[in-house]
Amino acid sequence: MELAAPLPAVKRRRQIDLLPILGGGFFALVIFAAVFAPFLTPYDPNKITITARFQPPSLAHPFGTDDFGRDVLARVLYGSRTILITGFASVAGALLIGGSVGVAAGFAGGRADNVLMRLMDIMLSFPAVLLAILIVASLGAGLVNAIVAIIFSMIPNFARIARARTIQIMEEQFILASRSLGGYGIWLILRHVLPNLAPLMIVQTTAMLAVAFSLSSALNFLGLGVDPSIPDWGLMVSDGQRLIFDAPHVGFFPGAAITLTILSVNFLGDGLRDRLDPAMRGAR
Amino acid sequence: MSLRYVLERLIWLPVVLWAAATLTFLALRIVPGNPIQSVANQMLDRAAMERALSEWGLDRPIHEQYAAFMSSLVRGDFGVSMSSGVPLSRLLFERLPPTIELALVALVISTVIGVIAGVISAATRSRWLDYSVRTFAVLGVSIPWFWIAIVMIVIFSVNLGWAPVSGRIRAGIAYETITNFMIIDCIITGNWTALGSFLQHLTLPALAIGLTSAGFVARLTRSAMLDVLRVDYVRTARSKGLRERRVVYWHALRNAIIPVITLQGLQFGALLGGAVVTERVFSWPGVGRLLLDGILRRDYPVVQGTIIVVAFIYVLMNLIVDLLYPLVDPRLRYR
Repeated sequence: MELAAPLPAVKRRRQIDLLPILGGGFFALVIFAAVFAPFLTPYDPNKITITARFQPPSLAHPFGTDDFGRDVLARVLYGSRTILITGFASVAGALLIGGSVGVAAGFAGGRADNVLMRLMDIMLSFPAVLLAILIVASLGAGLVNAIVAIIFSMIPNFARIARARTIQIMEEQFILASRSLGGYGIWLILRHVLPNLAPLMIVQTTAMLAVAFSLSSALNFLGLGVDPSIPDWGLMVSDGQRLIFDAPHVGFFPGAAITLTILSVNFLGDGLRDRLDPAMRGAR
Repeated sequence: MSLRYVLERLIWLPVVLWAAATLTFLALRIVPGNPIQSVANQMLDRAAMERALSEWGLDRPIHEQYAAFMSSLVRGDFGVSMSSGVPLSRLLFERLPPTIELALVALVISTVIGVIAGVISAATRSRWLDYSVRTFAVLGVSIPWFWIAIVMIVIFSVNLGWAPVSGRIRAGIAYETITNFMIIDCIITGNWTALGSFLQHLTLPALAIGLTSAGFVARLTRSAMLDVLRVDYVRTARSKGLRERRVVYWHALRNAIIPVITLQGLQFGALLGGAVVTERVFSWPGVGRLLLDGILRRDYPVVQGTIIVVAFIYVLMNLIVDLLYPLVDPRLRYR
């Protein structure tokens, strides 16, 4: 191993960031596939064709067919809907609830802050997957319940970040200025706290979108998510595991789709962080 | 870190544990049509259903159930499985060690690979290596464990035949259970055949988990090393005329390793949570499988017991990491 000569400081290279653009592009493609799935494939994702079982990838079926003769590409295209709906809905819910809790705690301070944050600590005493599983075990499987479960497992995350930033903002000079001019309560929050909180929350939301996607696919993989009749990537990987000896392609493509989607969101998130949050640049 | 902080954390601990147990208890009872109901619904005979409900104490008001649950929990009694009648304490003794074993080995893999890659990447300042480490780190957090596990099974088990597809040990190999940590038991009893088979079974799952988090460890190690390599004592070490290698490995690494230890401590808790997913793929007989089977069988004492135990371990692990921190880094001792 060749050791380089010691440098006084690390050089900061200024580079055009290609990865966030690639990530954004791919993610746009996934959304496009979800919206226009019926136009992108001639096959019905649920149509069972016994004569076409276990076909390897070919021109007619680029991703092959599964044990019911269903076209895997069609199922991957339609399956993007489940993961996107779950991901977006749960991130929106967690942002709304967690963000409100955090801003309220940071704004109010004192006892309210203490109570709210201890509550969040308790929720954080479960690993995220486990909290989601507990909620699904309680409510039962299903799309909506999976969303609720993911929302709850992500609330503390949003709350902590929103609170920390709110406290910072509340110490700024412009808050003092606004207060001395008679600004108070909800007006202060809407006019000053939220706009200053937004960049950080956008970054956080993008990062959590990747987490929501992976939680969603894990719940579905475990059979704790959507109904098996709905095409879903996690469920398809689980089906694919049964078929690893006969048709390994059945689980491969949906799994690759999950990976690429999460990867693209992560790249996108990194890019957004660099843009919107200079303090965190290069950190992580 | 002041004594006051330590005391505060220690006083807060039982409160968190109590709250976690209560949350679990309530979550499984608060919704109509919960597991209890559905166990009861499976019985056609009304009299039998009522008998069963009263036998499990489920016909009592919720606060009485809660009091009974808490008083047995304090005594370390997690209840009895509804489907098999086996006490949870025994199920946990059987299922917890395999999970901890898998998580620990995965952790060792990710630490060793991650730290080596991170140090080399920082010491050589190789662009190429830095890029690979970064890519690997993002890839690691993006690839779902269950999928990479299946891909590895297809490649290494199905196609190459290098590793077994599932399970913890080959069927038919006799071994004695003492602690139920297979590595320890096999070494105590000198059972090398069983140890070999166990390690064969352990390799793929541990690699699947370990490799995906190695990139993250490498990235953290690298940035910590780069920070440390710029501070005064490293310059002093260099100006003393120490060899670069000694500076990097002796002075810098010892300090850069601190955040890595924290990360891995927290990672251990996350791995326990993720066990539900990995164990399902490899049919690993751990606590995650126990939980999943419990959910599918609507065996709520099992669900309740496993979730509480894993949450307890998770909380304790986080606390230990927090409290150990100043031991590793003397600068944090007095704040």
